[in-house]
Amino acid sequence: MNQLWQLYGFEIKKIMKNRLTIAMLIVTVLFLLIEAFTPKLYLTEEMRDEQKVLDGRIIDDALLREMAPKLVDNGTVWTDDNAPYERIAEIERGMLPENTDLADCSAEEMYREREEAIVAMMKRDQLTEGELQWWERERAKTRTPFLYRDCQGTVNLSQGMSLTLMCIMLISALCLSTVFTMEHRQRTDQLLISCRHGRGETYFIKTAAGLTVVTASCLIAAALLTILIAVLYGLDGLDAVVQLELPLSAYSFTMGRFILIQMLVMLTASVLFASFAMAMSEIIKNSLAVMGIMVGIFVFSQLELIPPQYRVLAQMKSMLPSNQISIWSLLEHRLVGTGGVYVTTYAASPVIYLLLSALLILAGKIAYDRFRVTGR
Amino acid sequence: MKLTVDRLSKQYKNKIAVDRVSFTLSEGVTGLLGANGAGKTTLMRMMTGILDPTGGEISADGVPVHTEQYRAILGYLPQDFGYYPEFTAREFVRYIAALKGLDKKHAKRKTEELLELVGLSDVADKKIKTFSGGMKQRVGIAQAIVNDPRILILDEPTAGLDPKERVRFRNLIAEIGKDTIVLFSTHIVSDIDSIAKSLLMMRDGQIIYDGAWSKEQGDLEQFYMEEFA
Repeated sequence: MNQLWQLYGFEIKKIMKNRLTIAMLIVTVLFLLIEAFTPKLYLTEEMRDEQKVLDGRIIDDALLREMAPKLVDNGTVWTDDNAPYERIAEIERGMLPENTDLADCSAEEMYREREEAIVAMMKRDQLTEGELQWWERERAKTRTPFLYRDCQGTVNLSQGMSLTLMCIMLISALCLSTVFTMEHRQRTDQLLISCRHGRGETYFIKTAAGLTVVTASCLIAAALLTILIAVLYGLDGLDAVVQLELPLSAYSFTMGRFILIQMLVMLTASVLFASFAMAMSEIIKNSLAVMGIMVGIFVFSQLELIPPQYRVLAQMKSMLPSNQISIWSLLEHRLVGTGGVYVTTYAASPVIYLLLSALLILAGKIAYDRFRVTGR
Repeated sequence: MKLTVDRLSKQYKNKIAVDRVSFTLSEGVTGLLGANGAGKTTLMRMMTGILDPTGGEISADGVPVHTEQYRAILGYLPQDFGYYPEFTAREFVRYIAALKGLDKKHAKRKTEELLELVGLSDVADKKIKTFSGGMKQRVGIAQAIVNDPRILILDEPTAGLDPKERVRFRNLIAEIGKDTIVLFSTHIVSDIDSIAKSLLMMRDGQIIYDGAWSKEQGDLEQFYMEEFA
């Protein structure tokens, strides 16, 4: 047991001694700093203060009537005089059909339009009758009218997580795709597999080391981002409903719960990335090809290629990690399950990611066991 | 201990690399001579379990080659010895020691002992990538014997060593060979003629000579040149 821990330590050392790993960790920190500071460049202290003026107000008729005379060009021009209403107008516009006159709409109409738009969106996404009923119950948990909260910090945090995930994907692709290929390229594979623990335990120890590096990077990056955002913008609005950011979402989450869910999904996605990179590095024994596949899948996930009528494919694509770790995932209402038993993709994705990771690790083990040194 | 190779064959598509080879090795150094392409490396790879034979069997006192029990008593220095460039000599030998199942304390002691033995103690904390070819080969030798193997397979271990290192290495192998089965492949006769208690000669995948070489049989180098030139 003692020597297996030693091996685990050496395998982590091998990954960390790779210059690419250090470079990627530095790039990740830089990206997170840029992501955290960028909103500061667009948002002055005065603008931040103006967003807080209406914090705690209910978005009801009284607030809409108060806002109506201050709207210029249907809420597209903002000055010192009307700036505090900018977010309220954005939320209202998010619930209403395009080009609706904001000043002419009552709160009741606005919330009714929202309900209708959500149902239309769900039907477009081919939700079954069972799913529609499930969402009806879920929607009943979200109370209207909404309470306006200033949640700039929490929105920045949720947006920053998409970038964090991309960094974790790149760390996995660039640093872990060499875990096994390096042994073949440097011809250390023959030493490894002729050693006592080389055949059985070593594969799992190498995999565990890779998983440790990536999941630790993920946790550290998420913690760093949270601290940066908390220091720069505060984390007010954790109790705000997610509809303040995406009014057409049917989820009955608060922003705080959404962020926690995103972090959990991101952690399991990092396990998937790491497992994929390492297993593929042993199966296809070409780190460049592994990197290409991973970046290719990431790019594919960002393209709008599958129309919603191809429900299964569209849902599979929406469940790719880069789509799950996104504020837009709040508009993903397709559920997983049948016969009245459904779970949201936020509940299904971590389980699917972990199952896929286990399968990939197993496939890698089969390739590792089959490997024999020939033809050099 | 007896290391038995029984009707061992390896065929790659239409090429037979090793052709029904049988022999038994016991403690002592056995030299494996043969020209390039004779099948020495293929034979040795099969004897270390990193390559599967097409037919035949290998076992040490009845323990088959593909078992952990066999690997536990094996030491191997491949012809194309690979290393981790960013590791120091000390880290590398300690890593292999862990792979071979030595506990931390034992691995540490053994590593220091071997680095001293191969003359690398003063550069033990330098990265292997900064080493000369001969120094790298000495790291390879240290890793091969770190577990005090009962079976030691050395595939052209003297490649890259200077004459002084060659002599030192020969003496070391002779010492190890007193209670270890050592199979030492080379195509340089002088590497083994003074230390090998027996010889295996390979040509076209077959063993053409198996046994001890006595002075009465003539000059080994000359015989080798006649057979393999």
